[in-house]
Amino acid sequence: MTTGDIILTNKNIKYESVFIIRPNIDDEAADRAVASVEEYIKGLGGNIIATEKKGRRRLAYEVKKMRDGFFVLMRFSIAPESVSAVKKMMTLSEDIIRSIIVVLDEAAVGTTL
Amino acid sequence: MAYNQMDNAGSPPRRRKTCNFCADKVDFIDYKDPNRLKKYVTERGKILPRRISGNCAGHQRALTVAIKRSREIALMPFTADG
Repeated sequence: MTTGDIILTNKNIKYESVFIIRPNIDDEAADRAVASVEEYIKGLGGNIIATEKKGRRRLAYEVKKMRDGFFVLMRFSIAPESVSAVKKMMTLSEDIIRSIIVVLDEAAVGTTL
Repeated sequence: MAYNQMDNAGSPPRRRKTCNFCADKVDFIDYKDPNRLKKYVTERGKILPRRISGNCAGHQRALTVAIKRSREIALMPFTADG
């Protein structure tokens, strides 16, 4: 390992994302929000590995005055330099109230929400 | 289990707590599982120190990351009243 070993190849890295969709929209709108994220990732040259809609859940604290939300777990692969764009897209989305993107741990592959 | 750390004098040596994660041979602590993480925070939502939880350094570090991630997606509280 030499210093500056982070070589930007065009290699995709696997990521895991959990995001929360606002509860006060109907199921179709929620599905559309999920689809829009998928489309966005694909548009940046990423691949969707899995998407799991986990349904409505109570939040541990209030987020934008809402006490619960639809949880979605998504695993995808994308080039590392595109992740910030995905995160930004989620933040700017009106329907997504919270999101997190982490590098997918190989040991975490089978875990669900 | 003795909670009072102060009256150690004269009492028999306390049993060393062992790391629950080492006992279960856990190599990944899932931030998406608040029920598991709940055991390692106080009622207020603060992360328990190693001296109380008895976790090993490596697992405590991983646990801390997991709890903080869990807070970020509102699965665990940053703070709770009471």
